[in-house]
Amino acid sequence: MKTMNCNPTFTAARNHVNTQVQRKSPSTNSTSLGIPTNVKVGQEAYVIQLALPGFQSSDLDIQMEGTTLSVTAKAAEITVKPNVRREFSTTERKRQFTLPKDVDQEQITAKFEQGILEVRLPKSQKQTVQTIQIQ
Amino acid sequence: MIKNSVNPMLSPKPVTSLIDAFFNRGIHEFIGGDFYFHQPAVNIAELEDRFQIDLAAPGLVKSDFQLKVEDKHLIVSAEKQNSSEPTENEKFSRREFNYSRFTRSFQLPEAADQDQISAQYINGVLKITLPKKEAAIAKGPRTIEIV
Repeated sequence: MKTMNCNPTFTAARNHVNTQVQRKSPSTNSTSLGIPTNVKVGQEAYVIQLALPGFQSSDLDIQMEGTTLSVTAKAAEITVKPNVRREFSTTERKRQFTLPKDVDQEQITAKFEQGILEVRLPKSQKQTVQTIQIQ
Repeated sequence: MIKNSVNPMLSPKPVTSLIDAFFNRGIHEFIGGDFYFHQPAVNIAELEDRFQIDLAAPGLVKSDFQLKVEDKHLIVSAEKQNSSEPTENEKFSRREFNYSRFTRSFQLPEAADQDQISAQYINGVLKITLPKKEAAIAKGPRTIEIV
């Protein structure tokens, strides 16, 4: 039983604040572009959606290191160059996330459909707080 | 607005900027009384025999889109039918993009053949092809004999 007596949505809010998003600054290296991201928090899982229009499944790379999830996208050279107007590109980009402690890393799944990479991070069903009885 | 009537031969600007002006003079339409704030990004290319508009709108399906030609304008609109909006148990903790509803319009250049416009939705990009009219396709330099 949770010892906190605050509203469960506040607890969830506190937990998902831990889903930090680090954006690489433009001055560092070539992987300087970020990826627009939506994050949904549910009772059973977090869902991260990354907008990657113009990329293919094979252009993406998802890595887990410790509690850091990294997504890198690198596309092949485009054939038709937009010579009249260019508002988006498929240049290399990367985004990293620090996952909250309640994510069950073994159960992370991802799917890529029509330019949206959706990563599902199920929450660990183990109780994070255990009450220990005094004998 | 005046650019439409400028003779390209007299204008010092390259022809591509005229075409850019054509495309950018889209009408901001009020459809059904709603005003869509969000506009998806586009890349526009002009090739020898066609124009190509790539509109970035990931996360939709073919049937969500509506393309129509009205009064020399191409109007692209979309409304997501199968909503991935969170259920009661889910909430967005971060929202950096939203393609669930938008509209964007483009003024069609004279050279575009309105009846031959086609589109495909691949990798989250709506690729619209506008073939040029036969007469508009530039022919190579010709030499003219003097009789």
